[in-house]
Amino acid sequence: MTGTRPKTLKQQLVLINIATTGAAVLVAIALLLTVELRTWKEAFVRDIGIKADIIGNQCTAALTFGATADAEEVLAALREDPRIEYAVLYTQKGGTFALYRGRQAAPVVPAAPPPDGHDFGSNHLELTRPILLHEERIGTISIRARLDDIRAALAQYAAVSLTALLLALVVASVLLARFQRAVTGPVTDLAKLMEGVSRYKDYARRAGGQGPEELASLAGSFNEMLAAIQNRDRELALSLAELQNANRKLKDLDRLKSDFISTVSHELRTPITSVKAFVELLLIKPNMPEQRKRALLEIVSDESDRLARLISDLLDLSRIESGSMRWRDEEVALPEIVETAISGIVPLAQKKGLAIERSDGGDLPALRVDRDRVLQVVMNLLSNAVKFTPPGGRITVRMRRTGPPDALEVSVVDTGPGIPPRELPRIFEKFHRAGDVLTNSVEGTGLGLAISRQIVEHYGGRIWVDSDEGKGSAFTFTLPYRALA
Amino acid sequence: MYSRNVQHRLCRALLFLALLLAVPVPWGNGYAAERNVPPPAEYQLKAAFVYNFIKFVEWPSGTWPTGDTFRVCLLGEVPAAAPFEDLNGQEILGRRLSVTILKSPQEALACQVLFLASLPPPRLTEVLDTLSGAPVLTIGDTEGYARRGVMINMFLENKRIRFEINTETARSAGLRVSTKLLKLASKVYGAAPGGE
Repeated sequence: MTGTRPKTLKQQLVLINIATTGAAVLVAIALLLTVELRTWKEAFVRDIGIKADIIGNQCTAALTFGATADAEEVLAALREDPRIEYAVLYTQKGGTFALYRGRQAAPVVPAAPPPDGHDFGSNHLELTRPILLHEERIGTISIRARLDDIRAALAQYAAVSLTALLLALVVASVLLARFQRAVTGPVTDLAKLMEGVSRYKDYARRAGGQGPEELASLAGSFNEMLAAIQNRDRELALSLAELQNANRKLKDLDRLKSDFISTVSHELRTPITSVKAFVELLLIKPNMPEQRKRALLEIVSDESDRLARLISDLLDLSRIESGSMRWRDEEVALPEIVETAISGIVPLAQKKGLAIERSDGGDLPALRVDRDRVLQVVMNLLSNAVKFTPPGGRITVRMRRTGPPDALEVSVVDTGPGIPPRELPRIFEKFHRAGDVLTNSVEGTGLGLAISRQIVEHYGGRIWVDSDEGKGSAFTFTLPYRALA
Repeated sequence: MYSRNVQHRLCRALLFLALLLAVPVPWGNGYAAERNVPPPAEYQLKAAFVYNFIKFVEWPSGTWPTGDTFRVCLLGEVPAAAPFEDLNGQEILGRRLSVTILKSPQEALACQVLFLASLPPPRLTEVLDTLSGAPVLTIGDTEGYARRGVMINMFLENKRIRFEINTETARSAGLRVSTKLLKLASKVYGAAPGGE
C-alpha cells in the first residue's frame, strides 16, 4: 500500500476515496452486469424459443404431409431475424426435413436433432424444441442464433459502466475536496503549529481546538505538552539563574580567599620582618647600650605578641567559617559578661584618661551562648572604642531588651572621631583597619570586627555601626533569646 | 409416422386389392373397372393423408354423436379399402378411429369423415345433398370433386399426392380447416375466411 515516499493526508484521503468508491461502483456494476446478462440471456432464449415454437407450429401441416418446400417457405420468414444462423426441422424419426440458412456464416447443421433445450456457445445459442400436433410429437425444430446482440449490449454496458465509474469518482472527488478540509484542515494546522514550535522553539504557541473529536483531543494534549515544556523551561531558566548566581558567589568567594591569603601572608610578614630585623641588629651590635638593647627587645616582644594574636584570630575566624569551632553554650547573664569585659578594659582606659559608663536596661533574661565568645565580642568593641577615643573621652555601654524578634541588645558608644561614611560598608570585613589618625600605629589584627560579626551571626543576631563623623560611633549587636524560653 | 408402416401396409394392400378384384362390389362396379387400377402405394399414402387431414380440421363442439369413437366411413367403390381399414383402432384426437364401409349415403350422417370413391356425378350430388350442412368432412380423390362440393380432394401430380380444398362447403358444415392445411393445398375453392 505504502508508496516509495510518504503521502500527505489529502493524498491518502483521495486514494482511499478512489479505492472505496471505485470498489463500490465496480461491485455494483458487476452485480448489475451479471443480473442484466442473465436477464438478457433469458430474454434471448425466450425470444428464440417463441420463434421456434411459432415456426414449428406453422410447419406442422407441412411436416405432416411431407411438404418440405412449404416448410422451408415458413422457415424463410426467419430472414427477418439476422441473428439466426440456421433453423432446421427434423422429422419424427430424426431425419432432416427442412433447412433455413442465414445470410452470413454457414455453420455445419447437425444431421440428427440435438436434445431438447438450449445451449449457449461462445457466441451463439442453440435451441431445440419439439414440434407438437395435438400433443403428439411430430418433429423437432432446432435454431442456432448468434449472440452479437449480447456482445454489443455487453460492450455498451461496459462503456456505460466505465462512464458511471468515472462519474462516481469525479463526483466523490468533488465532494471530498469540499469536505476533506474538515479533517485535513485541523491536521494541517496542527502540523504547521508543530513545525513552527520545533523550528522557532516557540513554546508559547497554542493549537486551536477545532475539527473532529480526535483531532481536538490531540490539539488539547499538544497544548498541555507545550504548557509543560514552557513550565520546565521556566524552571530551567530559574535553576540556571540560581546556578549562575551560585557560581558567581563561588568565584567571588574564591577571589576573596585568594585576597585573604595574600593579605594574611602580608600581615604575617610585617611583624616577622621587624622581629628579624631587630634581632639581627642586636646580633651585629652586641655592644649596644643596655637601654637601647632593652627598647629593641621590647619591640621584638610586642611584634611577637601581635603575631601570636594574629594567628590566634585567624584560627578563630577559620574555625567559625569552616564550622569546626566548638561552641561551649551555657546559660549566662549578659550583664555579667559586660561587667567582666569592662573590668578587663578599665586599666587601659584609665591610662588613657577615658571614662566608662554602663547602663542596664532593667531585668534581662539569661542567654544560652558561649560565654567566652560573647565576651570576645564585647571586649573587641570596648578595646576598639578605647583605641580610637581621644583622652578625656567617654565610653558608654548600654544593654536593653528589643523585639520583635525578642533579643538583647548591647551598644558600645564612644566619643571618638567617628568613621567616614565611605568606610562604613567595609568596616566588618577582614583586615579592614581604620586609619589610626591619632596613634599612627598599627596595633590591631584587622580581624576583630570580622570575628565579632561571625560570632553574633552564629547566634542569629546582628551587628552594625552608627557613626557621626566627628561626634563618635555606636557599635551595636543583638542576641536573640527566644530559643531559651 | 406413415413412412415406417408403408411397406407393411403395402403387402396388406396388395392382398386386399386381389380380394377386391375377385369379389364384385354392388355399387359402381363398372365405373371403377373403367379406370386404371391405381398402384397400391398410392392408396396407402391417401389413407395416411386422410388420417392426417383429420388433425387439421376442427369439428363444431357437441356434434359427435358416437361416444368415444371417431368414425371414418368409406362410400362407393374404393379401389383399395385395406389401407383405410388399417387405420382401424388408431387413436385420433383422443378417440378411437373406426373405419366403416357404407352401403347408403344416409349412413354417412353418423360419420365424422366420409371418403367418397369415384361416383357418377348424380350420385355425388345425391350424397352431398344428403350431407348438406352436416359436420362430416368429405374427402375424395376424383378430379373435379372439390369444385363440386367435396371438401378435400386429393390428386396426383408429378407422382406426388396433392390436394385441393373447398372451404365453402366445409364452412357451411361448421368445419374449420386449418390455415396450415390451406397453405399446403394446391387450390382452395371458396373465399378464404378470416381466421383459422
